[in-house]
Amino acid sequence: MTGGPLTFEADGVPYAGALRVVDVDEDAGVVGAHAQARATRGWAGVAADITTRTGGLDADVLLSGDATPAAGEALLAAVREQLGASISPADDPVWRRKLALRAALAVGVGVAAGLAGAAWDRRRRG
Amino acid sequence: MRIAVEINGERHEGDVEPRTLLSDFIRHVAGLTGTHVGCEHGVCGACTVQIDGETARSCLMLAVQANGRSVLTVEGLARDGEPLHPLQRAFHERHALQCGFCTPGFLMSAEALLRERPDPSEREVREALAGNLCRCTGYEGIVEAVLDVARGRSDSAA
Amino acid sequence: MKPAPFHYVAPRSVDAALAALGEDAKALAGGQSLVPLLNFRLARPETLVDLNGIDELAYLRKSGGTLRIGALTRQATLHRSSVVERGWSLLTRAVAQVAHPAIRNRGTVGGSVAHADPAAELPVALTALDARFHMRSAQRGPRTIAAPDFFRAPLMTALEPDELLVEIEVPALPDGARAAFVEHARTHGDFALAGAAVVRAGTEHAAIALLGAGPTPLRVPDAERALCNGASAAEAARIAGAALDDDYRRALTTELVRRAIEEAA
Repeated sequence: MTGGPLTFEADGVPYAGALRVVDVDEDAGVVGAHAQARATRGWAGVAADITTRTGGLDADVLLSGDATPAAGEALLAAVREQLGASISPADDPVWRRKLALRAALAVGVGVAAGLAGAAWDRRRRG
Repeated sequence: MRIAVEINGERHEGDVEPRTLLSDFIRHVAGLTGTHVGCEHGVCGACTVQIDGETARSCLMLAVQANGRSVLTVEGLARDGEPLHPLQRAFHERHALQCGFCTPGFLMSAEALLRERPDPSEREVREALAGNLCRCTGYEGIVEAVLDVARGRSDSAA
Repeated sequence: MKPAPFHYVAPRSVDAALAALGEDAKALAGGQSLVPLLNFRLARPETLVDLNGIDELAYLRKSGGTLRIGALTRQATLHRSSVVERGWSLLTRAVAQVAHPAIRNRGTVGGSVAHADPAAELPVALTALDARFHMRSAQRGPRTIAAPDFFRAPLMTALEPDELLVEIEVPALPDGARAAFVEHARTHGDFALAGAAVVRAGTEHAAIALLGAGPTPLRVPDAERALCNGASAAEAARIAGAALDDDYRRALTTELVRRAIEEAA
């Protein structure tokens, strides 16, 4: 996927912008993306550079004008929705084949790593 | 071809030829003449609009390419009866416009800049706006206006 | 003025695009070079094939150490990419100097390569990076050509009229490679008069490609070898500049190469 329009509400104001998938690092299993949106009334803007791993998002959020952190959260929520529940490079067909192979080889290790990763990501997202 | 383009939150439908430029659709079909046509080959920046929040030269897009997309023009910065956008007010206060022909393009570029870079250096402002040409002002007021807004960061920017 | 009339098709797949291309059909990517030509009526194709709906052509992917750039990747996306900045910072530095943000938001990497403007930055940077260009056509199937053979003359490449550039492949650089892209233009974003792309990894690897020194991007292997043999920036730059006949351009290019080598040290 390459991205698409984003719409959401924050601080009682509608926002509109777009998500753009930037790059896929198959070797590291990371997807990079960029999202931005502006309030359609007044002056407020939000932009974020995003990297994803299986299970979560890391984001550097920039606020401008009257945008509050709530706008940043709303942007990321809209991004998550568009990228789908399992955020991974799995939409990329070449990556998907490699993913299937690795999954078959490393189930036990994967489960343990996934639990640790989810806990770490909960701390980051919170 | 029948197309529908959302401009400043409103849907504009029209019949166009494939060769109809987006700038002409905005001006003549949607009737939004705030977007100006200077060179019609992408170098002056007067026709700059935003498509889904990203700046683009509307003279270098076909109207059919904007079908179903969301466009922002200068008219979308502040509607009738609403207060001026802080950038518009700052341009006024810093004498950043004289004839006003280049101004909408500058405002579109500056608005996008401040969203991606809320705290730009003067050099970053100059580089980001280097694609918008002004024959009247000599640019200093324009750069100062954008920096005023960035530093003020709210409606009370002076 | 306005473009002359044309038939317009907007395929959603590469195969559909290939079926539409031909002698009288021109591919439209970012449009930042083609639409001005249409507006001036310097180009009057019978059919315009709008590639912008072909999502499968837009990607930036690092796999097995190699960078693969889908031809429809926007220049602004290339600029944003941390994958590119980490592994191929020459591209990040080169694309930052392409025109202006509004142009880069629409302009594509493949479009810049296929258009082959002699003052363009990306063809020079990709030449310095030993890029390979993957093309497809309906009649002949896939072809791959390396940069030196791809750029033939100003505004001319190895692409046939019915051929589409689909991917640019950039090999991995040695660990610790550093890069610089230095150009001279009258104002930021203007067409460059001369420029230099330099990639260095100690004495192990050196690549120097010149902008504006010939009809196409020019590698200067003598200067590259000199650098790997321990020559100073000034000495290697002098060797690189010797490729030019014109006094002004030679002096300008030599200085730009020297600065680029020092920046990439």
